[in-house]
Amino acid sequence: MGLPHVLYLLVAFLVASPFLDLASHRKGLWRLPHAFTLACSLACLALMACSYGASNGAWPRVVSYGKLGVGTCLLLDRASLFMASTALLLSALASTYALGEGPISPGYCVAFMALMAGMVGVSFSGDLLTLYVFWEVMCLAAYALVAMGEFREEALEAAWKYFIMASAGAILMLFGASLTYGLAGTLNMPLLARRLGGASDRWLYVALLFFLVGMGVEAALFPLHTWLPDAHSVAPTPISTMLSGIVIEIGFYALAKVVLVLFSQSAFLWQATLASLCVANMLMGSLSALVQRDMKRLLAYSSVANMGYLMAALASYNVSALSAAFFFVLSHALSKGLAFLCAGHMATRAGSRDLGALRDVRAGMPLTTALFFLSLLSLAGLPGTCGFVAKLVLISALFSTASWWLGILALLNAILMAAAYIRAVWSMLGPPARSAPRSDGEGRLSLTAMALMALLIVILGFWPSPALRLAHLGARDLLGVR
Amino acid sequence: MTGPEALLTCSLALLALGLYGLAAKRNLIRIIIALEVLVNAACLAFASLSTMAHPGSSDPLVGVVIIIVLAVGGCIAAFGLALVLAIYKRLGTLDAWELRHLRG
Repeated sequence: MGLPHVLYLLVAFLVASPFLDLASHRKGLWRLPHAFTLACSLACLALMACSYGASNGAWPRVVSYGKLGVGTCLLLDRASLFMASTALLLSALASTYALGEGPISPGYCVAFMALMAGMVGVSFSGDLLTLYVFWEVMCLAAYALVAMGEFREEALEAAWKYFIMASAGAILMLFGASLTYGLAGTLNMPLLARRLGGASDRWLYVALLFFLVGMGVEAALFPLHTWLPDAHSVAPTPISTMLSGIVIEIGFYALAKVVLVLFSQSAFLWQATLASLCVANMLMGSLSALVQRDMKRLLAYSSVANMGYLMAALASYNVSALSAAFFFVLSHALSKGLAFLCAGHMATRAGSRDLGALRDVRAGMPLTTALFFLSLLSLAGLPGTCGFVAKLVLISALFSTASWWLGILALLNAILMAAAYIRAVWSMLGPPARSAPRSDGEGRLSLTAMALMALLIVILGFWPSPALRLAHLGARDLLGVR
Repeated sequence: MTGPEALLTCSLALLALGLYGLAAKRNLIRIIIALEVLVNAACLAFASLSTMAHPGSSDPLVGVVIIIVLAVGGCIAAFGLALVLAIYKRLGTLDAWELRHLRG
């Protein structure tokens, strides 16, 4: 058994999921789909860990199917392993949370499995056609999951915006792929890297532009981020967690893979573009987060700002900044995931996502509130949490690169974002405006999932070195440093 | 202008047309048609660039790409129409401009 088997296993589970979904709705067993997605993500995580432990020697590894240059291939490096295992870990935690909540629409299980398979496939894919197919699988699943939101009218509107923007983006990405194909005669990434090595064609820049715009929609690059606050705030709670915690980061990873592997010779172009866009991302995200009344919308805007950090790391084109970015992805997945779970948990009880409404239910759910504050402090970068380590490592890495001014901007942005989180905590600490509605408990399974995430946040805050080392190996593989 | 170049120009024109449709049309179904035009434009770009790269012969890769991309395009259309149906049943409108309640 090797790493590609993780993908085969996920696809097999995806094929099985419609039957399970149907059975669970016939028999009224609403917990079955969540248990299934939990079991799948744990099985894949275990398989990935085993095959990583058993593997020896050379990275990156290319697994080809069919004739070289015509067949598809997988490009496995430690960066893709890092992203895929973060995705599976977050899916496992989100599924555990969902087990303790009520039923979600029919079709949830299929869409969730497709989202998982799509994310792992995007991280593993080694040619542009495979990348495009898994990208669409991931995106279609994400639109469907957004449309299953609690308040159906809002959810449908958000899903429509997301659908139109991200589908158009995916097709523009395909245009970029067609131009690179025209220049190099293949879609295989390692081959493309070799053949495009010395090229400096005008069309190459056009292709780069198509890739930036196409993948930038999913990765929430500045002018293309408008779907994000809508979709992430109205999706069902476990799905908000997945979308904000890992799906946009997978978009970032795919963008990083394409520009670093295919366009390393025109680095000056995308470095400048990404550096200016990341400033816009940070400013737009943190300023909008500062004025939000809707808690989940605030968290969604903070994701826009956090994508700015990742773009800054990519724009600096440096091993230590990129490894910090990978650690940041893990830390953000846990912290933002926990924040969305707690906010959604409270909002479901309160019947509203407004900060004032959350304050009213705070008294009835002390444990959720405590975990929520912990996640917000981790996002704000309080020492002792993984958010602190991530920001420290990232900002100090940015300062040591040629684009040190990005470090200053990231620091300023960290302060602005901390203000937004502290404002949220502050407005929830006040006395409730009206007495708390009848409390029906906090849900033991949901609390377990949230407590596990909090535990991971604290452990990574005090003992980050193993994860940092893995992130460093991933960044080295991605940049091709031996 | 030779054959493949004309095809490439045509695909770029379709790209512009599709993007115009996405931006300017209000009817949800027309927007999905614009998306499908974009998918076809990408396929046409692949076909024309393949004949430019390998004059006189055909690359099997491009055949694979076009078949798969068209299949994925079908999925996009199917999903989009299902979404439009849900929107029409729930909100009773096919006008994209009426879908602007989420703001801020």
